[in-house]
Amino acid sequence: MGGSWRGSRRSDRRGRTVDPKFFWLAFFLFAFLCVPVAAEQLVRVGVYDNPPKVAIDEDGTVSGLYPDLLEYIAAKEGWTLEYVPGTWTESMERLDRGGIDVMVDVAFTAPRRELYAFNNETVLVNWGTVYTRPGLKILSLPELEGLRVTVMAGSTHTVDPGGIVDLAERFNIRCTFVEFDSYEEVFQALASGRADAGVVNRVFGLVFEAEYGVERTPIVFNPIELRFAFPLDDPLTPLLIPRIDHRLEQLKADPDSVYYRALDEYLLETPKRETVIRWPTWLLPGLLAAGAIIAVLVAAVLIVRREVRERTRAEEAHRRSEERFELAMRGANDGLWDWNLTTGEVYYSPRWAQMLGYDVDELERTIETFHDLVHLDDRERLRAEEADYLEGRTDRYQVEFRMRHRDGTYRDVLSRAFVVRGEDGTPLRFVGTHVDISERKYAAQQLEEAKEKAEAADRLKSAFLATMSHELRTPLNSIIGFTGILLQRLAGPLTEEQAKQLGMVQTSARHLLDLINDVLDISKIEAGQLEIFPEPFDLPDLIRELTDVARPMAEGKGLELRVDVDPAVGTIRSDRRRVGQILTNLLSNAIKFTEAGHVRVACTEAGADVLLSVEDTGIGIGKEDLAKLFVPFQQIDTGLTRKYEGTGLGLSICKRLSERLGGRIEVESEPGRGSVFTVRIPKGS
Amino acid sequence: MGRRILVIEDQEQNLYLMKYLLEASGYDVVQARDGKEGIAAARTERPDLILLDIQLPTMSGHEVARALRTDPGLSAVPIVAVTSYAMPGDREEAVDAGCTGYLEKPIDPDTFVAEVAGYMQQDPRRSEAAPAGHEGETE
Repeated sequence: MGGSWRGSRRSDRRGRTVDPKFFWLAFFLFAFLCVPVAAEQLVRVGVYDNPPKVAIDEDGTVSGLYPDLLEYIAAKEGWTLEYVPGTWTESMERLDRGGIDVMVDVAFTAPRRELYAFNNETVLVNWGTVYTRPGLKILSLPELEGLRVTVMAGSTHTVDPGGIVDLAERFNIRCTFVEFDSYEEVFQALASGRADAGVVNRVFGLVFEAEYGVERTPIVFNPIELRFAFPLDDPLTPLLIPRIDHRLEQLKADPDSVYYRALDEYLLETPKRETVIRWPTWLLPGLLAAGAIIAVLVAAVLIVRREVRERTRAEEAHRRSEERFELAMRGANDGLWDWNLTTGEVYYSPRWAQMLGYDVDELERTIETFHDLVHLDDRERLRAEEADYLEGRTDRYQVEFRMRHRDGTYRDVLSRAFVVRGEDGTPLRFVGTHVDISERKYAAQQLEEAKEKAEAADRLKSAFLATMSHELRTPLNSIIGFTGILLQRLAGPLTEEQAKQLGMVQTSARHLLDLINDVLDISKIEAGQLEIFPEPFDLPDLIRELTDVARPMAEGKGLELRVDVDPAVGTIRSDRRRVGQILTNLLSNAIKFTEAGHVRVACTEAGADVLLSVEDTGIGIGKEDLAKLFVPFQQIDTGLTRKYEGTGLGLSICKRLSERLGGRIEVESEPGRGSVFTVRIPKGS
Repeated sequence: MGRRILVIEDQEQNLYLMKYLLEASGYDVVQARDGKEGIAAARTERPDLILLDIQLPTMSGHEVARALRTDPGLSAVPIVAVTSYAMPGDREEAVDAGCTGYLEKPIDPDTFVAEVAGYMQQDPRRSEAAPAGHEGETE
């Protein structure tokens, strides 16, 4: 009607100059005429109670986002609306069997498209969201196992493919579903603890979660587009759909429109504003009472002022609502995509786009958008996985691939998805999530690289040490051998100086040999190459043998060397050579670090083990040094190195050998008083 | 003493060192520089003891020991392996191959001759120490 009015004004102007008085007169005549003409077109609207999208009061008053939109459109189109309230199920039955011309808030799903006509412009995008009773925290779908889950009967989030019942079945989750007629009852059941979890749409949830004190979970599913639904074969349907689409398109293009105001008013928690502009009630009496021009001017001024104020508030509120929703999605950190395989259209969530540095509005809603951003090397594999899954060759879709970020870098993405099939098994929708696993992958890769490097370096070190110590041994054989021959005067007499100097060569050569042997032992132990050859041997015998070797060294320093072996100790089964190596090391240490007093070797039985201890009255070890005592190349206090010759490897070898033999080594010490090293070794079978 | 010792060793300095030490103690030393030469020398010279280097070219000391043990005339001669401490398992393998015992390189000139003499005195026990399996192989 508005359109025809504008057309008539234009033709008047084109025809001849019109007196402004006539123009205004014509305008009002038209305005009054419009009302009765429009009233003839009755539109019956199915409504159910699902606040804030559509709500029915106790006295039958209908309000909410959909009524606001429809009332605006009806005013513009000259329709009279008649609300037909009912439950969701009743309303949908009316849509089937007649009784309403349009139903609000219907999810645009494949099965429903077979049954009803839909307008093209989506009013809202919504998700199913899982809430829990106060105090119960769950983070993932499988945690619903065994719980009482309340749902709304007939809701797309309940019954449709991709709805909670379907999801539970798909993931093999056994839970008890309890059906209610409204989301309010779902929340009431949760608040009172009569149910553990419940499913509502996210719009309802965000608005009412605080009021009921229920817990929102990160589980969101079934992204749906809500539209108006119409009876398929009603003659009114082809008339209503283009008009509603046309109006919705206009409204969505205008940030000040009733559409955005309604979104803000109903989808935010902010207290509902009292001052909602109602054109017909405010404007008409004003016109009648005070005269047209003034009224219009006054109205215009008021409206502009109000609009500016409203707009500022509305924009702020709208921004906050979007932020909050984004936040909820980010909590799950998943980007969503929903590929309608029938139309080819793909829904991408803001987080999906943001993961790749885009704003969702910048992206074409086609699958090419997705595929083109996938790394060239991964694309074929991804397509193959998609095809395999959609064609039923695989029963699970979980793929990792790289996607190009706007900044040119690639992100590792983990995609999980499932297909929604029609009754004949045709895939209808392919719905999935994206998680950015770049950091996880990078960290794992770094760790693996570092580990490989360390292992390679370690192998190289061990191989190097083994080779070096072997190669160093060959020349030492000659040095030690021939100095020995000379010192034994086998090759002829020596002067005193010659003997003294050759003695120094021999001592140094032997020390070098010890060092090489120790390094080799450590490298073999660390490379896990040290072989143990257990055999039965007489332990007291071994102790006697080794103490006899050490006795001259001890007595040379004026130390007493005592040996106390418990008569109960006899034959044990262990590696004789290694046990001997440990004892020799401990003995030579004890003698080396003791200037006066005694060194005592003791051996006793302790259950299945033997305890072999070497006690001295030497310089002892400070508490702070005990910890590094068994660390390779750490001879305590470098100052001692000069005084006490040694490789700094002896004790770390003793420790490792003891452990390799299935035992352990312990030390007790007090600076200035002496030390006791005790080795515990299993007697063996 | 006049007892005869066969030294099988490819490394010239080691050979000279052992030969010198043994001769200084009055032993009669026969030398061989590889396994084949060593086996031949053992058959013709009939030594009282054989010192056998394990790391030999072409034929390892273990192979030489096995070959010697298959000769009935040599099955009673003590064979002392001269092994490198660096090679894990050498000593055990030497005993498995039929050696009476082992000495470690580098040899200690102060104790070398005494140790060798020790093995020579083990004569009566040696036949028990030689694994029966190796002797059985030839029969």
